[in-house]
Amino acid sequence: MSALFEIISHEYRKYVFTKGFIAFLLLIPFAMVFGVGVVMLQEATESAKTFTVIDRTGQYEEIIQDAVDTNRERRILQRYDEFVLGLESTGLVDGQDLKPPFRPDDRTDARREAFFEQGGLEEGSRQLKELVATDLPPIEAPRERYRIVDLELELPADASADVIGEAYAPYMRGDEDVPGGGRLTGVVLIPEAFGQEEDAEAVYLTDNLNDESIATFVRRAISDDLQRKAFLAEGLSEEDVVRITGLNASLRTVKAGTQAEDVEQRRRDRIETLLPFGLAYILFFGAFSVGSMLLTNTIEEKSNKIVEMLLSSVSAGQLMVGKLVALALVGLTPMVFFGAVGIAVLTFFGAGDEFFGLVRDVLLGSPLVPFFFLYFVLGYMLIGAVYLGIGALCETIQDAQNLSTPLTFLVLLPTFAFAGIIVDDPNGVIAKVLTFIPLYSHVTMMLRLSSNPPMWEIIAGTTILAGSALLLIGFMGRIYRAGILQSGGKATWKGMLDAARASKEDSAR
Amino acid sequence: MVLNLEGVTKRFGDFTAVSDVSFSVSKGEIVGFLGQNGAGKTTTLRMVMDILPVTGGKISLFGSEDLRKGRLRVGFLPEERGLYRKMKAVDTIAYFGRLKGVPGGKAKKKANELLERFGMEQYAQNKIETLSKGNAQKIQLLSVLTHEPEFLILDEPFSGLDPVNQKLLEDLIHSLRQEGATVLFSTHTMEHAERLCDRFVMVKNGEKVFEGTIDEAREAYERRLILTTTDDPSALVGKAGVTGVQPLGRNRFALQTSDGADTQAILAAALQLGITVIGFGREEVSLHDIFFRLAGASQEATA
Repeated sequence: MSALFEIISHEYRKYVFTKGFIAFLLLIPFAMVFGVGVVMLQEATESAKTFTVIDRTGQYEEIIQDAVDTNRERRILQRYDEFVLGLESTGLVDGQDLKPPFRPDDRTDARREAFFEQGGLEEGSRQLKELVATDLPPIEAPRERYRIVDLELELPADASADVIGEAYAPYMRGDEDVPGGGRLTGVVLIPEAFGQEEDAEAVYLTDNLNDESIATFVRRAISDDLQRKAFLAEGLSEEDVVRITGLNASLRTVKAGTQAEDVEQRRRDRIETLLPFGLAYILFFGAFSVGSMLLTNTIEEKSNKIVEMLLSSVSAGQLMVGKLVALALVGLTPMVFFGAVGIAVLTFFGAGDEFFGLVRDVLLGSPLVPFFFLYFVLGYMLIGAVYLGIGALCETIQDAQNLSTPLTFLVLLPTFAFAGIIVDDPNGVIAKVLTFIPLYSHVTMMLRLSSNPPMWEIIAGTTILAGSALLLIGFMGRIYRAGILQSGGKATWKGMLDAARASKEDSAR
Repeated sequence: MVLNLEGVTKRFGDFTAVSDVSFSVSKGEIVGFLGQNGAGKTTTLRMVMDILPVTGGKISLFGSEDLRKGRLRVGFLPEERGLYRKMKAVDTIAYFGRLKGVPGGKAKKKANELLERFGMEQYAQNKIETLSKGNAQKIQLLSVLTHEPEFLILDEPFSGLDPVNQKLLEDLIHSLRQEGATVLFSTHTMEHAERLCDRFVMVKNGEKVFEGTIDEAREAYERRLILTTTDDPSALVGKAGVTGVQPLGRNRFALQTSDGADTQAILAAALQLGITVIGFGREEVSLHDIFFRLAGASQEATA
């Protein structure tokens, strides 16, 4: 028993107390900070999408300009509301003390117009400051998303789209400066007959076909106006039109079996549904990568001729179990470490934040986390046992690839291919079938758990997984015992079977 | 009795690696285990260490057939040697000690003691991969001594060592013996066995062909009568009990004689026949010759 402990401790320290592993632990938060930084950098550097409108009808440029302004106002109002709600969650202020339109509410057109008529962001900040004793950071208006510029190019009044495109291309490439900075994203060309003749088409000229946002925005703005005019032509009043276009079917998604009115419950359900994706991802790659570490570990020990020294003190069974346990612990170390750090951070910094508090409660309270560890251990044992057996028969990694490459494909491909189907229909046929196939059941179960699969399927799937993991460890243990001392073992499936058989004969005597 | 083998057999499928081998090692002895490559030495030693199960027969260590328990009191240096490349020398020695049941702190202390005793304390904190091959092998040897074994089994300990290190190892075995250790080591070079062993066991094709002291081996070895001459000695056949002449090359001939033949009479007969006698007498045998004779295949004719 103590020898087994020595092996576990030795193997564990061999991996964990290395510069590489510690660097890995430190690198993950760094990568997260980097990821957040990139998002912030993108936000900070994202410039307004700048475009020019060549309107030959003389009536749409103003409409598009109005749409741009409205869009900006909506975004400012949203920023303002979020700021107030953020203050509310820290308990500094009660937004309900503010008078409309400065009280956070649904962002209707009427409220928006009133907000900007009564002084906009500046007035809102002033009123907010009166309620709060402490100094507040200024509310920064969001960057503008769309901007219309007039480059005042001298072009013939009937210039074709080709000619216009040619003329504006240097501004799109950045060869020529655009007033106000940035580059020109595109040109909207509205022909004279637009809105009167059926085949008169507006054109959006751009050098970046991937970015549809300006085209969509302008199309929406003009469509809205066309619809408004059509309604008016039918004899409706301006008020009726506003009322009709403002109609919106009210529909929200609620998890079956929960209270639709309970907002917190709804958020909790949302988190409980999303969290398993993250956990399944970590589970899948964790179990697979730690499992495959056993391959290199065994081959190293075999080719370094250490194994005979070890076997003169401990049995092959102890050595194998020791390795399996030690690497499971290696795999669990970063998870437990970051889990603990994460919960500490959520508790410490997220105390006031409802959302992070919920994430923490879900993590600690739901059965997802214990199940995650269970499935990690089972899935890892299954994959790890196979790699151990393969490693015991091979002198070099190259030898092992004969056997390990098909295994890798067998594990990876179906998981990638079917993950989407399981997520779409967690209690569908494919999800059910994969639940009972040991190589995939750990990831499948993780993805299904939040969708209340039948209890018997959880029990049966888990039992099959655990049973086959144990059987496989037994079988691979025989191969390991037979193969580990052989030199030039046969790295084929047949070689593995032969080794298992020879080992069985030995132990039968 | 430290080690006892009784009719030990090992088969791998149809191949019999060790066949009905029996021998024993008593306390305080140094026993050489000799045989050609592939004779079954390593397989036998692996069975003693319970690394391989026996197909038939019995092995006992310290009077018990519980080898799992007994082997913890044995220091075993396998033929194929390797260490964890990234591990420090002192940790390596301590780790193998701990696997044999030495408690953690004591193993480390003992490891430092061993390094000091063999003048290698300056390498204690070095990783194995930075050591020279000879030093790595010494570390490996020290790592089987951490648990103060009563019995050392060394499989080909001299292979791969340069003459200086071979001498160091011989000295080490001598000093361990003075402390009362029992040693069984396998080799296929006779000089070491001749210098070190009280007794030796010889195997050939998996079977034991000899067990005993060097003197007993010399006695058991039939020393041939050799006549060196430039003439043809075949005329001797039938005279003075000579039954046959076998040319050995380089003017040497082995004379086969009937039982009780008188060597003086044979020499006289040779002189009578006018054969020029350059040399005459029983051949000198070294352990090397005995080895070839007993353990070797058919090299006798060219010896």
